[in-house]
Amino acid sequence: MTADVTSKPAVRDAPKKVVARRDPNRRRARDLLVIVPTFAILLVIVFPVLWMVFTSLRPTTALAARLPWSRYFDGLGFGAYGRLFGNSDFARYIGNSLLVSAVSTCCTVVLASLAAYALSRFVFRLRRTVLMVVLATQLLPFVVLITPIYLSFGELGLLNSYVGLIIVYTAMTLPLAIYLLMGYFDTIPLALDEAARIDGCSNVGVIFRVVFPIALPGIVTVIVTTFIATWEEYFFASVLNTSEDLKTVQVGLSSFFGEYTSDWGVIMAAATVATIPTIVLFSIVQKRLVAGMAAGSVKE
Amino acid sequence: MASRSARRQPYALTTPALIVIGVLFVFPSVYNVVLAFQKLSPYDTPGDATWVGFDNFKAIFSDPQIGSATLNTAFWLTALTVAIRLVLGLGLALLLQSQVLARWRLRGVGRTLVLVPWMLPPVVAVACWKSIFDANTGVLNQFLVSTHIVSKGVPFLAQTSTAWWSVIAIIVWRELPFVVIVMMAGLQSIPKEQYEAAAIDSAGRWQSFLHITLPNLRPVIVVVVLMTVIQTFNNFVYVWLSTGGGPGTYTQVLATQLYSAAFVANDLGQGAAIGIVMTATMAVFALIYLRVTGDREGRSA
Amino acid sequence: MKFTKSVVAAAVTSLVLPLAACSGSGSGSGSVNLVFRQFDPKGEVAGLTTAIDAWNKSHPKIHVEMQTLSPNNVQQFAREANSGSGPDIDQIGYADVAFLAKPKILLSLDDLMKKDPVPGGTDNLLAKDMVTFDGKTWAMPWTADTMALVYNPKALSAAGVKSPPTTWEQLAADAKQISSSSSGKTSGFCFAASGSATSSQWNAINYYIWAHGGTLVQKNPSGAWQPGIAQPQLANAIQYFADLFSSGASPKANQAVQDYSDPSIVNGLATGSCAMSYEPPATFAPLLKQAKAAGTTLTTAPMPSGLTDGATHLGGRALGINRNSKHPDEAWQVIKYLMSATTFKTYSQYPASKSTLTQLTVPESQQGFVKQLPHARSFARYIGSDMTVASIEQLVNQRFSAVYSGQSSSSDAAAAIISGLTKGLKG
Repeated sequence: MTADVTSKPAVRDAPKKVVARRDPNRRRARDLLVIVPTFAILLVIVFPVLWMVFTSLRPTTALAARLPWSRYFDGLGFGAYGRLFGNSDFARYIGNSLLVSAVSTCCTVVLASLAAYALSRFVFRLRRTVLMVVLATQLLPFVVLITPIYLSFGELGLLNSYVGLIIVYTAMTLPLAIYLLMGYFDTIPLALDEAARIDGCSNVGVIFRVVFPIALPGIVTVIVTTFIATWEEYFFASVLNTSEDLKTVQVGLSSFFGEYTSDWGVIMAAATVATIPTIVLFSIVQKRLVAGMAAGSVKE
Repeated sequence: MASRSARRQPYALTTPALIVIGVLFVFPSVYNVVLAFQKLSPYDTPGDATWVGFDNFKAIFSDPQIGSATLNTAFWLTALTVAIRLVLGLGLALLLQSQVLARWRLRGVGRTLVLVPWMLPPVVAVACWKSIFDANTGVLNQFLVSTHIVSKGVPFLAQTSTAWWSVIAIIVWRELPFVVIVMMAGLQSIPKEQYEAAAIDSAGRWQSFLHITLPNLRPVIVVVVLMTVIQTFNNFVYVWLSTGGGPGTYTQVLATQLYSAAFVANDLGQGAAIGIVMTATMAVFALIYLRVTGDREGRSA
Repeated sequence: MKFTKSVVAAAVTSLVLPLAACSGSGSGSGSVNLVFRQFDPKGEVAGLTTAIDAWNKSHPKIHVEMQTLSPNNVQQFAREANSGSGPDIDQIGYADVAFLAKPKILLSLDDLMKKDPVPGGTDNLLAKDMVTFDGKTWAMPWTADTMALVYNPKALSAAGVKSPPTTWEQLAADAKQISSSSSGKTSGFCFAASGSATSSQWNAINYYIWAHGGTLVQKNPSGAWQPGIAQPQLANAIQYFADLFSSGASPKANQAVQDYSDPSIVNGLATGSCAMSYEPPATFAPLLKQAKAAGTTLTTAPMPSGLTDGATHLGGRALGINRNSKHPDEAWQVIKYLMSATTFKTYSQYPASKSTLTQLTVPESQQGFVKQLPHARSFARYIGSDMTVASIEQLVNQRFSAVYSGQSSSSDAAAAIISGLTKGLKG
């Protein structure tokens, strides 16, 4: 709500707005009424993660110990990180995860865009059926069905390979991606594609030249959700690929959970290390998101 | 001629996605139905199964816990967490979209921070929260005790009065980023001219939220609700890891029942049958939901 | 658009490269390569790795590759074996051997044992009842463990408790005494009391019931399974554990804890906020190190009634051979090596063999385990009905937990357990 109001005065005169936004004098004290609560909420959101990082730095004896506040920061160090890289090939797991997640995200975005465009722009007889089929896939309890999947992937020679996991991840993330993209495509006026089609664009041309750039915030959202969904996936990764060379971050992380003991320091260190690539990636993608906004505003 | 090829176009565009989805889903979804009428342990090959007719379904409905598990799943696990996520997610998205943050160049930071919970694998997320919630040594209880809000540490996950709220806190926290980021993208695709026009008509901020923001977000909200409802309804990780369905069976949900049947009692057929009942429930929900939220055909025609 | 294109190009390249690299990994000449899978985190098995390295050095013809797949996932092994693959040698928790024996996923070891016997024979192996089904041996007991009482002698003596309790009743009284005399700073008895399916209160509950002459389920002379405890007795057991919380002997926080290795229990012992708990040997060893670092003394004693035969459980891991293994003879040799005293010189676990066990020098602080192990008896007593041990465990944990949280009375919970057992055992 605050967003709408504060943007209103500036919106009336677009060129002025641009100047105004760059002018530091326009930063007013009452802005703090928005900034302070926003960051207070964000602090609450981030706190458990900070706690995780903090835990990874604490000595093992301090975990779950009843300490007075003054002794909370005693003996912090990087011991857990030493154990992490000493006892596992964690760098390799991160590489595997990056590869699998990046490739399946690309596949998902391309395939989902085509499908979502068709579902958003065309009226066809099986439309409702396709929509329901795509949705129905979200309802399956995979834990029960893993054995037949494992067997059929074995038949297809897709066990212990990147390709098998990429196919699974693409199939797994497509339904949500299609539905999300459909939502975004629906908000784009039909007149735009018609204009492009008159200019001689094919369907694929319309999708990637016209709709894609305008829907870029939506596309980036889908990239982010797909990437995270594949990055955090554990179940298929642990069942389909058992070779040490192909382990993903989540499988590597879970290997620190033991029956007798779990080294929580190492687990927290591993989780911290595993989140760094994603955070870096998103700070880069952020800029695309902003660029997408600019593209979206050229609509008129 | 032209109309004929135009009629084929949507199929050509959707086929690649459907093929990939088919590779993973077609066989298992058919097999799921077969399995629900069989008795099979996870240690046997599918060929070793014996047919048991409707026994697995009968067993579901004669289970004394099924009623409370269904209620828990529908109300506490799904309806409540989705509603909270929706309200908080929209609010947070609006805050993060605000011009104020852009002016102070804080938008990027805000957007990245809000995604952070999502980057933690659920196992780690639950472990962090459990250590924060611990009655003796958890930092939350230490804070509450040292500020005299409570006199003694509260075992949040172990007592009926707080167990569900604690589980809900974990779920909402971990899954909120998805809603926020989807809402933000939705907000960005709202044409600025609409707000301009509203401003000229001197509409208030609440008015423009009600008449511009919400209607424009509608398609996005419709999808978000549908997807989060389905995913949450089927989710077992949070409950299983945080309370294990306890105290007693107080936080038992359908997905944990499914898991217990399949892997604690080693009865895959029973698990598949519970899965089918859950799938059917969600399918009915989805059909009604899509009908109620309006026919999209009308618009795109 | 350029961005998108380059991403797609990069994706395609990165997809093709590893494929090319994957193809054709030829096997070495003449020597046999065996895969041995174990499931403990790598940080815990340095000694095992040393033993295997030593084997590989002295046996150039049989190379053993140790594969770690943690946490334990026996169904994964079943899946692989059922599709014709999987490791040659698999480490298996005792409780899981039966699952793998029934569909004959494992190779029966009797022929190999006859051809090439285990040194010292199999008579002195512990837990043979966990690996023998239908008259055949499916795996070799490898390591042994049980739960011993871990306690902090200083905390006990500070409360005037001179020696660790030897009965459950005494344990409750001592724990209450410790909690109250330290005015809440030290809890008398900590244990994982959550209602989850794998909550390790299961061990204490069974120990208590066994010590009082009962058993949860039993086979009657006609061969049918039935509950082995009457409702009032079971209600007493439930009340005993519920009273631990109401008397203050155990902290309420424990009701949210699922596992004996949970930091809240392990660190509670290490930092002195818990006076007593129970742990298996593999958890106790690192715990002792932590306690030392925190300046706390910890030691072990047998559990209450732990020196009574069958009042505690015997757990551990076995070694089995995948029925798909192309080299069962070589795999058997490796198993024999893993069972030998040589391996246990570097691998810090208790061997599941009485003779190998006596060859070990065990530090004073671990005497509780060594004294109790010969009296411990496996969970084989619960195996064979239509109800899995895990299902019994889940039912019992849930119902006990419901009493702690005030959702039901101990007699209602006992009735619910008995009826659940009766229904489950009939299949």
